[in-house]
Amino acid sequence: MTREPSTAVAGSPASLQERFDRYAIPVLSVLGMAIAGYLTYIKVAGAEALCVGVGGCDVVQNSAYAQVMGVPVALLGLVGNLMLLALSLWRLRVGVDEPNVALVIFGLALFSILFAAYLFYVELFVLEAI
Amino acid sequence: MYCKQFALGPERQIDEAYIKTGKLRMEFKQFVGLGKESEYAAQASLCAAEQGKFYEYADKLFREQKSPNSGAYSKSNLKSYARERGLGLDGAAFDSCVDSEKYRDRVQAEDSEGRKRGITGTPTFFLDGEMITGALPFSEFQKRIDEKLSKQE
Repeated sequence: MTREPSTAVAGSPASLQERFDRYAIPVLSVLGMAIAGYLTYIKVAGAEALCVGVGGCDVVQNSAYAQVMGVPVALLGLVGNLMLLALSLWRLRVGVDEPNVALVIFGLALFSILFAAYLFYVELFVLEAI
Repeated sequence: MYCKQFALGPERQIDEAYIKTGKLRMEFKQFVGLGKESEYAAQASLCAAEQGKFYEYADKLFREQKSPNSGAYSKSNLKSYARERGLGLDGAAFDSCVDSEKYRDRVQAEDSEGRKRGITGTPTFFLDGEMITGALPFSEFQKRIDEKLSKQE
């Protein structure tokens, strides 16, 4: 099968959907890193967290639930988001639709959401911080 | 998404610079990593090839591409794309080809061949045996193709 001449112009502008597919994960993971990085700093430096809207951040940050086997959960969030950023940037740079990488990204994101939901539950019903 | 980027961009430039000038031969193999609809689309593209319109129809599919398995490549949509004026496909023959799924085995065989050669994502290229992954810009393909050609001279 050889290629016939085409009348269409070479290349095509990426649609809104395509741009969303490409950049949503890197952008969201950078935001996630910013929040997790801030909370890691608060935890490690022992500073007071800046709460927006509702109080009780320090109650949460200083509770036993804020770490897993001695590791601050915010640091886990930072590492998780960094992995998401690295994988999504790799996909973008190489320019490949790679189902296995997509599955890993999905798995990481799903785990993060479930873990965040658990922490939110703890905040609301165990620590009653909100 | 990245196959589309290649097909509507660098592929045309490669065609102009190397294929039409007889320096390069390109063979297209199906790799269907994204579920049922990508299998249907692959089979439909071979139905278009029967009528000598593989690349024209493939380009049309890329222009209509949406999220995987969102219905964009349902059999009824694949048939309606074939009716686009300018493609010049015989609609009835195309429909019966798509319905018969006569290329199912061929698509699966090409897909397994790709997996055996270590392909995990699309687009992947083999340039004189060397594996290249990803929709690289034309300049990158140009560099690699010229390198191979200069060794053959």
